[in-house]
Amino acid sequence: MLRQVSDRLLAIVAGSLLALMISINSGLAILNSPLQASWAAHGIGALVAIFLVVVYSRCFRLSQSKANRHKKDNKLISLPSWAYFGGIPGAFTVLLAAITVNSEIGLSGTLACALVGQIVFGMISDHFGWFESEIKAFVLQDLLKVLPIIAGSFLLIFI
Amino acid sequence: MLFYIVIALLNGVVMGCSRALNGQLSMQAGPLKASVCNHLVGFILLSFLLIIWSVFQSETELLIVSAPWYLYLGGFIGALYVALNSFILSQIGAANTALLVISGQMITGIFLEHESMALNNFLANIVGVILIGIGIYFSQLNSFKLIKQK
Repeated sequence: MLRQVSDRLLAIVAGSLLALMISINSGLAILNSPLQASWAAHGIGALVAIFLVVVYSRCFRLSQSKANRHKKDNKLISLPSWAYFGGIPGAFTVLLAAITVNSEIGLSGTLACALVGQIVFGMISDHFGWFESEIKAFVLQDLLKVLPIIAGSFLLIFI
Repeated sequence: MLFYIVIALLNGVVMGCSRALNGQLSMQAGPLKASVCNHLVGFILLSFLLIIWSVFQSETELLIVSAPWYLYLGGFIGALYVALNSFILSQIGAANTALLVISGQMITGIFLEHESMALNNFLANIVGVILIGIGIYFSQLNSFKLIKQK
């Protein structure tokens, strides 16, 4: 019970950190430029990510069995080459967020619009099966999910 | 205002692309290694863009303003978030994770801005977050059912 509550709290904290991150990066973008802010964030992020990989592999190397590794090698073959370039849209995310957070729609407007964009784009890409996803045709019911999100975002931006 | 809304919506599309690509890589390489790749590719691209951009700037604009230390925590948080998120995902599942992370994000967004807001706005914003939560809940619920039916 306690474990479940703490995991849920951790998820909320993770969301808070995400909002804080966008706010911080945009603060850096005011002092310099969005391009420089995104560059610094990615450079520091890369170093921290490498550090985490090293720490993780040091801690868990023993628990990784050979069979597991073999399975991994087989899976690697089917990876499409475009999967390595998620960093390209990732770089533009910080740029675009820096522009909108420092505008009149602010942080919560940016977050709300980005959420709407993600949900709608997710539905479109599921409908056509982009990114090798399973095709999930759009149904009218899907509007029920989008409408509360759009209404909520509207409240955040305009009121 | 409409211009910024369109940019922010577009940012959601860009985020969706980034997540889709990164998700594919994570499935094979694990979230942490995928995150390294993600950050490095972004860093290399931005380095090129920065070089091109600097050609067209005057010298005063090129000066890097020293920022307080905490403004450099963004990249740190970004990398840490990947590890945190993959841990939570394994504990409480994708549906709960999405709902709680997005709720936490929206609430924090409001609180970070609240000094410039009246109580009226604040209440409207809380209602807005609840509506967004309901939408996320519905969307996760359905995808959950789909998985169960299979």
